[in-house]
Amino acid sequence: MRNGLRSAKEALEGYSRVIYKIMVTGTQVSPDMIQADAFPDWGPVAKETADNLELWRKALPPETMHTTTTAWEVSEQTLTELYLIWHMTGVMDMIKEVDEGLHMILMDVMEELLEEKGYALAE
Amino acid sequence: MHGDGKQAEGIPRKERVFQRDPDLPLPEDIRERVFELEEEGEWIVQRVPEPYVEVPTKYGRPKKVPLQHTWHHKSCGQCGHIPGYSTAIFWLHRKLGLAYDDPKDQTSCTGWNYYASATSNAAAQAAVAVRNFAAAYATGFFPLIHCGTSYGHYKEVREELVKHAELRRQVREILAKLGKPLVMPEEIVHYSEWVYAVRHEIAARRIYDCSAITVTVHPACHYYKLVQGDAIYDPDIYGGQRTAVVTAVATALGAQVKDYSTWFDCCGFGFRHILVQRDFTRSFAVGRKIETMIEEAKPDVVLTHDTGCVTTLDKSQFAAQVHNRKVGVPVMSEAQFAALAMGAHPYRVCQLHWHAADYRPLLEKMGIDWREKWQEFEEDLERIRRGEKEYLTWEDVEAEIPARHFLQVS
Repeated sequence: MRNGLRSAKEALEGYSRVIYKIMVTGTQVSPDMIQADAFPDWGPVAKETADNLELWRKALPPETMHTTTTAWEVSEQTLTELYLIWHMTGVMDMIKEVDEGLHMILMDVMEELLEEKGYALAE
Repeated sequence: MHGDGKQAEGIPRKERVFQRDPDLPLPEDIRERVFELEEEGEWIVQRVPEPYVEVPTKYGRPKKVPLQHTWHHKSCGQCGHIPGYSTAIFWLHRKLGLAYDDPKDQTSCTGWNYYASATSNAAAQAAVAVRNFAAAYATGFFPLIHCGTSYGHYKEVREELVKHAELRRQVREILAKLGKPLVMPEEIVHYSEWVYAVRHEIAARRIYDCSAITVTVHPACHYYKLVQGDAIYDPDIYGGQRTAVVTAVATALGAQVKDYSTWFDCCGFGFRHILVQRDFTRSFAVGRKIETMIEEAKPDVVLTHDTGCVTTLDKSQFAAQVHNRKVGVPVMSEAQFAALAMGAHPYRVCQLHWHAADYRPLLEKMGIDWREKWQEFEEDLERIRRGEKEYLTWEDVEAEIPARHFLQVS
């Protein structure tokens, strides 16, 4: 990863969706990732879950878990701090080396929130 | 129920006593260095709040497990696709009248970025960990980590931070820019250690008889193979030669825990495999774990204590049916099983409809009428569908069981 090797890029291809989730949403997987075509080997439960997702997520007592695009509700301030950590530790630079497209998508999402919170990112 | 849990088959107790060779040097206790660094002004150590339970660990050193005022570091996979897992942990706290915080100021440990894709580095991983610790410290509640991976990973981060002054400096600077102090908890505590600590209180509130239930236990690799020293080992469970957490809970509930030969093997999850070699994961989970358990122990349920393990062992069974493999055993966390035994609703609380392997025979054997419970849950869904209710609430869940001292801070 640190040297931007092609083999690293290839290995990353299967991970793009998970990397996006981890870096942008603050949780590593989300309920809406359960889709019948993504998990055919799980059997009928994958389709049933996907078909009823919105409703089933509302039928959960913990308030933090009424979400579909994240595993739990992460506050904006928490996300801001996470994005700052990625930038301050050089992780964004590592990703740019191996996947510019993914880097651009991540930067777009992060910049919007960081600017809203009063942080300007130097290129 | 105190102490009346039946002796699990195959679990040697008093007859096999292992004494550690006193001449064998003990590995370093990293917690001593954690306190030394506090004295040197490097960080703040968040103390385990009282009341706590001291539990035995691998090398005989006691570990403090807080009973309440816990800050719940949730698990991505549990909340994401086994939501009854997290809900059961909260429910147990509420039933036992123990205060907890379910925060929104929490990120994942981002361990998947590190272990599976390498798109992170030591500083980022450590900064994410201590940002969460600082968030817990700010509330006054103590971190209780739901995910086995986060638990193992945070213990590795603790060791890195203790041993590398430059990493501490780097992370302290990052935290300062976020306006937070550098905080290290006195203990890194996994939720299953909490369940172990309160197992007799859980057993005392059991309303279903578990004595006819045969259980096999899969101990999670990330709980006891990563940074082994402070995992719980109890002389009463396998002579202190295996981690005790889940087995001790099932035993306290009166279930029959049966042994099987591949107990030490991984469930097959393996981080990378589950994403890019799912066929390997599936084959391993079925061939090395589920089939072996069925052949050797014929379990009614498999209990484990980590996200990836529940997912892998549960979801890998469906496809194997096509090949006429021996599968068909429900898989859940010990928290869900304990909650069921205490009368938790199988759908409102334990959310078993998210599980793939058929759990209904287990419920029937426990004496739980799953048809009636599903009907009740369907009525909940209908009320939400009609807009009469926005969400299912704790009040809805607790209305059916006499409330004692339910507490929640956020």
